[in-house]
Amino acid sequence: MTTAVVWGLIGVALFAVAGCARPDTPGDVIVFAAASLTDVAADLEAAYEDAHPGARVRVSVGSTPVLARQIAQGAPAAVFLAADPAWIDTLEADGYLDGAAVQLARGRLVVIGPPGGAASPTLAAALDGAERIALADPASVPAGQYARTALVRAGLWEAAESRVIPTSDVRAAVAAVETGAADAALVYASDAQSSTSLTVRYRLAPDQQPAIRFAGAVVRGGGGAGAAFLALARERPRLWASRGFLPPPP
Amino acid sequence: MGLARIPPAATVTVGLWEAAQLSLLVASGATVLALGPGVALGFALARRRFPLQGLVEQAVLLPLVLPPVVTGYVLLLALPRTVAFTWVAAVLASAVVGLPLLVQTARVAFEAVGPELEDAARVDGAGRWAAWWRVTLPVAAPGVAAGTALHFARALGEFGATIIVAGNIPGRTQTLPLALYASLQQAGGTRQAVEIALVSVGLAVACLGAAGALTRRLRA
Repeated sequence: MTTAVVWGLIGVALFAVAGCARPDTPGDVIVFAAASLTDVAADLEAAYEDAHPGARVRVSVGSTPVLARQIAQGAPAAVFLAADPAWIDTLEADGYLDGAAVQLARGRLVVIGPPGGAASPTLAAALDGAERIALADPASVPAGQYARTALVRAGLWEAAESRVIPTSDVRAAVAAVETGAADAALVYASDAQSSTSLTVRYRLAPDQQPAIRFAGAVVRGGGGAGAAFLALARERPRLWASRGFLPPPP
Repeated sequence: MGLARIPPAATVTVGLWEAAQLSLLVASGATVLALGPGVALGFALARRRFPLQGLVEQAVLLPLVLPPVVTGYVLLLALPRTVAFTWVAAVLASAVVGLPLLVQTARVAFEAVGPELEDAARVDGAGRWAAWWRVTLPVAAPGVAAGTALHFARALGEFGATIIVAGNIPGRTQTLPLALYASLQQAGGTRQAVEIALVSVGLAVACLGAAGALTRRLRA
C-alpha cells in the first residue's frame, strides 16, 4: 500500500514531465559556437529560423577547445563556429568534419576596463594600475592565446603574467570586468561591444596583434541543415559587422 | 560608429522553462533508474554477507567522494558515442552521482527492520519474496522514500558530471544548473542568471516540501 503510493507518485511525476519535454527533436540544428560568437550566433539563429519556418536552432556556446573536444567525443553538433581555424583543421584531419573550414570574419583585440575609465594612449598605459587582468585561459583558449601573443610582442607579458586571471572563455573575461572581479581584460572588440557596462581603454593596432580569424565548418553528419546554416553565416556580412567583426580575408 | 547603431546584447536562447522541464525530466528519469538497483544494494548491504562486500560498499560510495567531474569523465569514457551528449547521458550521470545517497539511506532503513519480523512472516507461511515485499519493504518505506527524495534532489542539482558527459546544449542537455552557468558566461547575463537561480530555489523548496509530505504520510 505505502510502496504503491511512492511508485504512484514517481510514475505520475515522470509521465507529467515526459509528456511536455521532447529533448531529442530531429529537426533541430545544433550549433557549437565559440563564446566570442555568442551574439552573432544568436542573430544567425534568428535569421535561420526566419528563413526556415519550423526549424529550431540550438546554440551551445563554450571555449573553442572545449567544443572541439566535445565534437571529437561524438557531440551531436551540425555546425562548429570556432575562434581559431587551427581547431577546425585538427578536427578535419581526424575525420570529424564534412568539408574544410569556411572563413567567416576577422577580429581585433581591445583592452577593456570598468565603466567611466578614460582611453589610454598606449597598451602599456591601459594595463598600468590594473591589479587583475582577465584573459581567456592563455593555455588553451584562442582569445587568451592571441592576447598573450600581443602582450609578448609588446614586451609586456613578463610584467603582466602574475596579474593574469585565466577564465574559461573570453566572455567570462568580459564578465569578470563587468562584475569588478578584474580591473582590465584583453578581449575581442566584438566582446567589448556586447556590454554597455565597461569602457574600451585601448584598441590594438593591426601590427600589435596576430591575425585573428573566425571560421566555421559542417560537422560530419551535420547534413543539409548544417550546410545551410553555415552558408547563411557566410551570406550575412552585415550581421557580423553590426556585432563588431571585420570581414573575412578575401 | 554611433551608439544608436549598436544592436542590443543578444543572448543565445537559454530557455528558462525548457531548462526547468529538462531538469525535472532528467532528475525523475535518474531517480526511477536508480531506485531498483539502489534499494536492492541497500538491502543487500544491510542484510547479506557476500563475497567482495567491502569492494561493493566502496564502489557504491565512490561517486559521493569523487569530484563529479571525474565521475563524468569516467562515464564519458564508458558510454557509447551515440549516448554521450544526449539527455540520456545526463540521466545516467545524475543517477550515478546520486546513487550513494539512496543506497546509504535505504541501507540504514533496512538495518532498522529486525530480521525476526521477516522470519515471523515466513513462519506464517510467506515465501521469501512475499515476506520482503509485504513486511520488510513497508516497514523500511519511510527511509527508502527519504533516500529516493535525496537522490532526486541531488539529481536536480547535478552539474559537474553532466557538463562533461552531456555537454551544455540548450533544449537537449541544458538543465537549470547548466543554464545558470551558461548565462553567467554571457555579458549581460546577470538578469537571466538571477531568474534561473530563483526558479532553482523555488523548485528545490517544492521538492523538499513534497518529500516531507510523502515521508510524513508513510510514517503515519
